[in-house]
Amino acid sequence: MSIQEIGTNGKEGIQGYSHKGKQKRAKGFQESLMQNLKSQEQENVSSELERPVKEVVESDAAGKSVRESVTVLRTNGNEDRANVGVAGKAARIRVNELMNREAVQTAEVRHMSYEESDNIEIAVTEGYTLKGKMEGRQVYVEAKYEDGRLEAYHVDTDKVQEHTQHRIEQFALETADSMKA
Amino acid sequence: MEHKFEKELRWDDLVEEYQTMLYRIAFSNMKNRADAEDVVQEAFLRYMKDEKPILNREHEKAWLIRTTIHICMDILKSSWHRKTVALDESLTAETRSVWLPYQIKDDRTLEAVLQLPVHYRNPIYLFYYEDYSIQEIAGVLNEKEGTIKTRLRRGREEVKKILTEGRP
Repeated sequence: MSIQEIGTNGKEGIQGYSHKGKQKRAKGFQESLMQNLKSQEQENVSSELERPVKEVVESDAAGKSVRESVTVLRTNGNEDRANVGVAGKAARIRVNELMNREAVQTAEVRHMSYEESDNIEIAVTEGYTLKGKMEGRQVYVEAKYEDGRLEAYHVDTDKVQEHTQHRIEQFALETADSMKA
Repeated sequence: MEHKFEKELRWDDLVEEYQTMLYRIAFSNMKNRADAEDVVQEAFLRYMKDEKPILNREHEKAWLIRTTIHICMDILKSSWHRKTVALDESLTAETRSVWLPYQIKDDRTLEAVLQLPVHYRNPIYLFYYEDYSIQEIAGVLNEKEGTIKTRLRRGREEVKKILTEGRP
């Protein structure tokens, strides 16, 4: 629906009024209506341009600040350029996340015993135990928690960052180191 | 009679398989070597005398652990034991002398666990140091799984208290 069509329909409707006062009021109403429609139309166009960037802002929980995303919107004038920039930024975040996730993959729990394990951590005060076994380039880690949960992971030690804060990754590195020693 | 014969045939394997584990459990309760050894012997004797069939290895293991703990409790509750003053041996030294399938990195925590009241000590010891599941511990101690979870949680808090304040 375009603005022009609505405008002509409106005019036809106004001509039906007989009183001048009413005509004046109708004319004012028509003008304000036109203005509203115009501003609405502008908002729609601008929201279409902003849409991809807003998506990025919303999906930004991975650590990139909202401020950075807004800068992307301001520096990219047309829709195509904005999309390219956004896609590039978003992809970079995903790549970083994947790199972290690649080191630790969930695995099937085997109920490995202490005797079979290469490394054991008994953390009574923290409420968990960890068992690790070196398997080629990977470390199989089994975690048992105080609430009864059992979880297992394969950790690729080559992909673990040296100063990782992730306990499973740290334990896998310790297991690998203990086997080298 | 047939079950007894089966058990006798398995005697050597049985002792080899469970002796050290039962000794560790007995020691964690009795806190001295002589009493722990007596408890393990008594547990094996009861097992041989028991005429009920053993369903499988897990059942056998659970039976032995349960019996060991019961014998410990009976001795600890007995008036004779209460009147005697046992010299608690160095827990750290003893736990090192007892064969474990792993090296204990934190002696202080184990000592704190062994100082816990019995209703916390056994679930915590079996869960962390013998690697039993909550379900298995519930079976061994004849308690509900929820009870074991609660004791693990509260026992852990007690261990923290012992480590920080030096008393249970």
